[in-house]
Amino acid sequence: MPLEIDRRGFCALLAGGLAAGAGCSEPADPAATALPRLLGLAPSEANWIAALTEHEQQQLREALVRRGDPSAQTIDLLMKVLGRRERLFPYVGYPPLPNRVTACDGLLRE
Amino acid sequence: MASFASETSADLCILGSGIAGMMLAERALAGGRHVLMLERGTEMTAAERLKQRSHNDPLPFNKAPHRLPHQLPPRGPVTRWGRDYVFSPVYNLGGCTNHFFGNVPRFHPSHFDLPAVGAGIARRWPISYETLEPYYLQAEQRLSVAGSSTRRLFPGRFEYPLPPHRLSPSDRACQTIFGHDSVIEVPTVRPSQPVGQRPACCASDQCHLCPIDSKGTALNSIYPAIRNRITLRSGLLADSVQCRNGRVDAITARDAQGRSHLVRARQFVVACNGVDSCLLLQRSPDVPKPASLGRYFMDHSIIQLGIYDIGIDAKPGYGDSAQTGMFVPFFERTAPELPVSMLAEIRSGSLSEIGGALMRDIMLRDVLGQAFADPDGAPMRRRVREIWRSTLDLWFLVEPQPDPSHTLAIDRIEPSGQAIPKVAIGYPAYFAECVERLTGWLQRHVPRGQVKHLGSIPTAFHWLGTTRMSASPADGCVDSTLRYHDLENLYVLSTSVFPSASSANPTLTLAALALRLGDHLAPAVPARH
Repeated sequence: MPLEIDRRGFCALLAGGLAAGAGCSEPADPAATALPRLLGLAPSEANWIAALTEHEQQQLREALVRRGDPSAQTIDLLMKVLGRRERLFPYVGYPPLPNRVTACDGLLRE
Repeated sequence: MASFASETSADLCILGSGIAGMMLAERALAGGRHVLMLERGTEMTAAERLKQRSHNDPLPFNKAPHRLPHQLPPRGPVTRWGRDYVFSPVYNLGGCTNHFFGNVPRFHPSHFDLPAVGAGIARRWPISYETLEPYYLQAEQRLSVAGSSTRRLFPGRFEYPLPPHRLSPSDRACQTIFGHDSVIEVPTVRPSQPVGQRPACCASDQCHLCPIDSKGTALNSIYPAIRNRITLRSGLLADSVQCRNGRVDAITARDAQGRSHLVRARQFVVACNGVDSCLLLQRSPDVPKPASLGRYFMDHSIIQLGIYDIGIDAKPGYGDSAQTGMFVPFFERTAPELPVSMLAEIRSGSLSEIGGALMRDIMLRDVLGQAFADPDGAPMRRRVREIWRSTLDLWFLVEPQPDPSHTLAIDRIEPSGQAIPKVAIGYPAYFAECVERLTGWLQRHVPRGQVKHLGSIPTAFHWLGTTRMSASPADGCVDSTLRYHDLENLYVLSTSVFPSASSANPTLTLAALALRLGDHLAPAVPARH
């Protein structure tokens, strides 16, 4: 059965759809894309942000855009992403850890 | 009349199988003694510890750790330690060397004869450094200590059996900033090269549970040599020392089922940790209680300082072992800037799993915060790298003062039989002053950098002083041979006998005391023909 709609109704439907799209859909640069860029992660490191929930990713992205004095919660989120040694070390430019599959990968010998 | 599940007799009964008990046992065996060792925990192997990822003992009277009320740090940030004092012993075979980090410096000779600080009592040992030096040497040999025999903390005989670990980039940065002699290679039982079945240190910084059983412990270095020659009774908690006519007659102990066991011996040595040795004497109705028993409780509190923007790539986290150098300008206690002895570990505590539950990541959190707040909004990765790599992380062990108001007592006896301690201890009165003066001294050497007090820790797990050694029964519990003043055949071999604490880690001094006591109890017997 064909939908019956007048011009006014058609315009209202169109406007509602546009408004919903603007308010609820993902922005052009979602947190999952923006965070690796803001943190300076290499492509192979981009999956580090999976340590955060989507909500946490959003929170950290907003904080990183603002910068300034971080809240304790922001530091907690950064620690989740970068705090483990096998991530911190490459992040600060150290060579790869000698052996990632054992417990003996904590420090680096010269 | 009491009935016992078992009655055992021995020539020498040692309570506790830690480094002190084991080294004493070995020395006593060499003198021809029959040694019975009583251990409250199970005979857990290194592999079993790794499998369960802890040293926790399954027996009901071996619950640990205990979080006890303490105080907030008198200065600086409040960390996750909050007001807690954490008492964290290892209650099974091998004792606390299973989880210690392995640093074994000697006490400075002057630390055996120190005047009081403020209103405290004098800290004179009834023995001198010279008395103990031969035993230091023997203990270092027996424990295969890695250290430098030429770059020494003070004049004396040093003959470390293993070469020292190489100094790390952070150690060398300290030398550049504070002078070459400010850093000495740390003496350690983390081996710099393989020793017997033990491989060289893996540098994982997880020494509380060495992943490859490399670190020297009572369990892997002494026990294999004596296990077939001693009588070991494990799973028995000593709960009373029974005395008659000025002598110890027997020890009673209970098992996990609550049954009581009796041990008789000619001589008894209480070689439990620095808390439980005192608690056993306190809970034994027959044992005389001198005024000093349970008083003068000491522990090393720790000041953690971060030094930022040092202008040198210090590479925190690099090194051939968890810690390779120690920062010594304030060890001898002659620096006019500071009132007490302090010995610093140069480390990256943020990376340590044992700093672990309570201290981990403090420096890293600070670095991330600084990078985040960069006023120019420089890229995060670049700023984190710049700040992290030009940072030094120093942990200063602060010498405590023997204070009669710092006490150790029994809070309660659990149905299992375990005595739960109650401590009255706080940061030293001069702690805040130490932080302030230390920060100022360091800052003068790094005028362009920033010295920051990151946190304070109320314990280094060094439990000292509550059965102190003294020449006179009036101000101590044991004499210079470690014999209990009022009982002719009871000895205490524990860090609790230390009348003062230095700022050095106590394990080697305890090991030296063990060897000396062994000689006292068991003079070498003539060879049999």
